[in-house]
Formats: sequence, structure tokens, C-alpha cells
Amino acid sequence: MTNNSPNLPIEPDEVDAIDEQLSALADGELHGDEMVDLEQYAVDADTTLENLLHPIESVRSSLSATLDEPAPAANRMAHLSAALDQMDSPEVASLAAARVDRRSSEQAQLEKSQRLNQRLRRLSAVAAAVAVLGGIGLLALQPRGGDDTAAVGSAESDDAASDDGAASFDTEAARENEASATTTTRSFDDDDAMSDEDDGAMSDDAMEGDAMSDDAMEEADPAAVDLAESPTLFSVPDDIELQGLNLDELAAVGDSTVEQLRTDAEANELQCPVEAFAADQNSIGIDRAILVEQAGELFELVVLADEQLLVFTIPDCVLFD
Amino acid sequence: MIEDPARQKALVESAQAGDRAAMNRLLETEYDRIYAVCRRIMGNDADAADGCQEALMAIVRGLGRFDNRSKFSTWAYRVATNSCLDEIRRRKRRPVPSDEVIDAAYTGQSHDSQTTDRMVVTAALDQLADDFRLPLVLRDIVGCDYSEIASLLDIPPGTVRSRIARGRKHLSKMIGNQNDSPAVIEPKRRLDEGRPPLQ
Repeated sequence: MTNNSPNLPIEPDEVDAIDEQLSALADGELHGDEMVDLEQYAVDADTTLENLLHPIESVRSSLSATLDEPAPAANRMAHLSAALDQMDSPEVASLAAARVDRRSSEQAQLEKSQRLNQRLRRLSAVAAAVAVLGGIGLLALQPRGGDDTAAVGSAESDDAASDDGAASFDTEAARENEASATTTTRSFDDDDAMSDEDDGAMSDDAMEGDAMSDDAMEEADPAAVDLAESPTLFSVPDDIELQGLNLDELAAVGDSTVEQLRTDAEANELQCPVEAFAADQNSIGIDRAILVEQAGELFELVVLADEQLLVFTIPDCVLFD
Repeated sequence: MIEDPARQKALVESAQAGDRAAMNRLLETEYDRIYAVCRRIMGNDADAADGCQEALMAIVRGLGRFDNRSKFSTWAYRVATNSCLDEIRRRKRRPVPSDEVIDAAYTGQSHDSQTTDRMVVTAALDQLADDFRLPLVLRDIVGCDYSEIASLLDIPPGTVRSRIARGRKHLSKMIGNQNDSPAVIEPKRRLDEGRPPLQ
């Protein structure tokens, strides 16, 4: 349809199928059989598609070149000024504020993640110290002999940790342990294996997956279960021999696993509450830590600022100090 | 001047956080092109000024929702396109071709050839009915694909394809004629008298 009246817009004439296909081809919107037809048309016309496309490409480039035309200066400042005034509108201001809040939160998360990564990078440097501390702990255990295995048996087995096992790590500790009958962590210290701070460090509920607070770590819980009556609260594989750790085997697990552990811990998806708690390193002053893979089991050794050594397994935990 | 991507991203983030200077810098950088998009969509200078104003305000209002996954300029052109299309729908009237532009284009005085070429194209584009001009602008200036154009203009993709082809054919003849023999063309009279014959 063509408009012949003055000042009326022009509606271009219809084009044939070839022109339409060429136009679509120039836009990358031609597919299938039409492409074959077009190629055949070019052959029949004794020319090339490039030649056929030339006028269309010329129009396209001419049109896109108009984008580089400078705008009139007359309205420029007024336009910009009016647009900027929109920033004061409540809608824009609230969006900006929300974005700033979110950025702050994201930045905090990022910094936390970076701190975790830095800590893990330092692990190799402190691996020897960790192993030594672990060895000391084991050496402290060995004189008390034969019931270690029973003491550190499977978390899934009610029989794994007996009263004897609990007492066998340290006579004094066991006495205290039995006396207080409240702890859900295990101490291997010769002198004061079960301090008040450690007592009740993990309540029964916490062991079932609730994240622990600082208070929970530091305050005795008079309602905590009897250690001897709750052997499944402890899980240290029978064959764990910290003093025998090969440093080359340390940190055999990559950062991604570490991060996954952290993520799971932060999501409270781990069954071990200490693991979840330890993920928040600032709250308990983790000094350094290392992941250890031994006999197919994954352990995380964490040295606290007060030189306590935490050995974490999933889903259970044990505390050396 | 076009900002490098990293710098532009930083500016966007600052502007999103409420930094007025960053927002001003972003808008200044893209002002000419945003205006150019509006000019081609609206079809004349007067309406383009209004459309550009609306577009800039829409960009500021919408920047908080821009996710930085595409270039800011690409996003801004689309916002401008929508603003102008809204403006056209509101006005429900056909923009009047700019006689001044056509005159200047064909007299060719005080313009370099590149500028004159742009003015010729603009003048030719202005003569096209909205139904043909808008798909062409969205495709060749804004860079939308056929499905986007169909969605924006609420027409079937096949119609988009047809209208773009027809618009290009017409422009090709207009531009080609002008380039081949400028003296023969009398665009204003031709406009007033009707469409030049297509070969």
C-alpha cells in the first residue's frame, strides 16, 4: 500500500519472497529450507548471496550509523538534570538503600569466606604442630590402655563406648566425668581433663543437630546426659592414630570440600553441632585448623586459641585438650 | 565517549547505590545514543526530545533493577525504546517528518558527507509509517531480534520479518537514489507528492 497524499507516511510496497528471505538472512533469522532455496536462487541468478545481500547490508550499516549522530545540545542539560532529580524519588532512594544493605551483607559474607580460606592456607604451616599436639593427646591415652577402642567406637553403636571406655582415657578425668556426668565432649588432658567449661559443652539437643552458642560451650548444663549412659555421643574411629599421621596426607581434601563443609555447617545441616559451631570461627577463637583424610575418614583438626585441639568428624565430634 | 566495561560497571554500581555523580556520568556518556534511538523511534525532533526526557527518567528509576548481566548501554537503549513506544501509544498520532532535517540533508551545505548521509537516512526513515519504521529501528539501531520486536510491538514474528524487509527495500532505493544522483532528488516535493516509484 502506498500513500500518495501529502505528508502521510509511506507504506512501502510488498516485496517478493526472495527479498524477504535475504533480509531475514542478513539478520541471522533465516533457517531450514528457505536457506536452501535462497542458495539455489543465487546459483540460478549466477551470483552469490554476498552480492544479493549487499544492498541490505548497506541499509543496515547506514541505519546503525545514525546512532552516532550527536544529539542537539539545547535540551541536554535540562534532560540530564530532570533525570537526576528522579534519584530523589522515594522509589529510587529505597531501591538504592536496599542495594547498599545487600552489598554490605554480601561483602561481609565475602570477607568471612576469605578469612576461612586464609586460615586453610595457613594449615600446611601449622600441620606439624597440630600433629604433635594430637600425638601428645594420643600418648596421654595410651598408658590407659586397652579400652580405648571401646571408648571411641562407632557412633551408631550403643555398645561402642562403654563406661570403661569413658574412664580409660584418664582416670582422673573419668572420675570427674562420672562425677559431673554432664559432658558431651571428651577431654584427654592428664590433669584436668574435664573442666567446668567443657562440661556440658554440648547438650544432648545440640548433639542432635542444633547449632551451639558460646554460652552452650562455656556453661555447664546440669541437665546434660550422663556420659557413661550416652556412648553414642562420641565417635572417634577405632583406628585413629594422630601421632602416626603422615604430613603428606594432611589436607588431602580440596578447598571445595572445605567450603561445602562450611556451607553445610552454616546451614545447620550437619549432625555434629560442634562442626556447625566451629564454622563460626570468631565465636570460639579458632587459631588454625586442618583437614585430614585417613583411612577414608575425614577429620578436621582445629586448634583453638587456648591450645585446645578439636577433632571433628561427621556426624560426631570429640574434643582433645 | 564510551566507557570501558569495567569502569562502566563500577559507575553502574555506584549509581545504584545512590551516587548522583556516577549516575550523571552514565547518562552523559550514553546521552547522544539514547537520543538517537528516541529520534529514530519518534520520527521527529520535537517528539524525540520528549521521548528522550522520558527515557532518561525511566533509566534512573529502573537502574536499581538492572543486574549488570548485559551492557548498560544495551539495557538503556531498551528502556529508551520502551519509553518511546509508550509515548507513541499515549499520543496516538503520527509524528510529523522534520522538514528542516530533510532540507538540510539535501542541500548538503555545511555538513560533511558522513553527516549528510546520516541525515538522508534519517529523513528517509522519518517518511516511513510507524509500522515499518519501528521494526527497522528496533532491529538495525537498537539491535533487537525478531522475537523481541514482535513482543515489543505486539505483532507476529512473520509480520516483523516482512515489515523489516519492506522497509529496507524502500530505504535502499531512497538512499541509493540519493547517492547515485543527488541532484535529481527533490525529497520535499516527492514527499508531498507521494512515494517515489520503486523499481
